[in-house]
Amino acid sequence: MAARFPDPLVEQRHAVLARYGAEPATLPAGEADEARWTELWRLLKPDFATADRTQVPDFASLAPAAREAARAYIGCRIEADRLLARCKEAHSRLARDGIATDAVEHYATVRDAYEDGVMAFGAARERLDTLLPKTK
Amino acid sequence: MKTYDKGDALPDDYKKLLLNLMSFQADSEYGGGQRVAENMQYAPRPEEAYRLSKKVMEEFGHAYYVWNLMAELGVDVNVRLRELIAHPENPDPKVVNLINGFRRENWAPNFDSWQDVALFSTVVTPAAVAFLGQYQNCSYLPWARVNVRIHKEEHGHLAFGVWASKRCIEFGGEAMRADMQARVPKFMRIGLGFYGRPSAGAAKSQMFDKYYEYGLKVKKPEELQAEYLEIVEARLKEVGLEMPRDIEPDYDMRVGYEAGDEVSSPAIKPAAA
Ligand SMILES: [Fe+2]
Repeated sequence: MAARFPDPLVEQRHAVLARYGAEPATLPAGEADEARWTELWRLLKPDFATADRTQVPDFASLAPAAREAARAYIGCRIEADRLLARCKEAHSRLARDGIATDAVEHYATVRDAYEDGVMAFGAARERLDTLLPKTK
Repeated sequence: MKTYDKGDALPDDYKKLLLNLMSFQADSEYGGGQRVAENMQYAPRPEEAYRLSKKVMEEFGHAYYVWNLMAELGVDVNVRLRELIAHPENPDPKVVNLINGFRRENWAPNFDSWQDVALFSTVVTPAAVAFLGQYQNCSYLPWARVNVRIHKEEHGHLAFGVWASKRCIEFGGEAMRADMQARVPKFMRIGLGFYGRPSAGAAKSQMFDKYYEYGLKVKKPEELQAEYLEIVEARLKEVGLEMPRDIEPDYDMRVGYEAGDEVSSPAIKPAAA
């Protein structure tokens, strides 16, 4: 079963990530899995619907370079989910076994990694953003 | 200023005041993280949701650092974490020292949209960062060191507010900018009240002198407020918003750990509506 926060409130509020496809946290099986890429892109494309880009293309209509960048961007989101799951486990350990230096430091390490993962997701978004046409 | 390091014997009165401030910081970092988690419901886009989630994880981490030090001083901190997990909406004030502003009933009315979340980080967070920043130079050295670490991590939070606010305008255009401008004053009231009442004059805080003398608070509310105003004006400008003048601070929200002035937490008076 997927990792859960020991804190029910926090677990429940993280359900919002499912809107964007969090879980199952697996990459589509290769480039050929067009249906899955299309679906994951559909969930994430609101990230690009700025005031000057009201229409964001579907996965099938993306130019080759944009399609490549979109795959990388989707991959970053899936990696962030994996890193978040490790934070949940570290958090659970603190709640279960108590606050102690090694558990706190372990939490800090996995939390740092999650932070890097989220920032990489943002950087991938910015890269892709430059490859998408503006609509006005 | 007399300083103490890990393992040093602490005078009773000093230890009591130190633990009071530390517990307000730790319990409120965790409780604040829970409030941030609640705000995930307003995240309009994936990146916003992930960045807010990351912030929740950071706040919890800050609580763990400080709780860990309190444990070294003989405090049962696990009971505090358990209480916050079991009663996130209204934890028992006999168990945890959560600042009023982070109690759900006081926090939630400030938010009805993502732009509120973005503005909170732009307008209120700098006050928290400046306030907690002073603990980096306090007389209890282990706590000072932990706050150096926390301060570094908070840097990302400051950037988050400006990033999120700019994105709001990028997606919502000029109508969004006007909407956000109208929301700035409510958050400035909280930010300005963060430091507590002035250190002199009729409204003077009762306990401030004692904390100051012990080197547990090293900056006067007036100094922190001046620091705050400078940062907030610059950040609002970066976003393309104006800083309103003549805003009255809301001291009763005490988002600013001012409640830490009262040593017995059960006596904290409820925030004004
Ligand atoms: Fe924090």
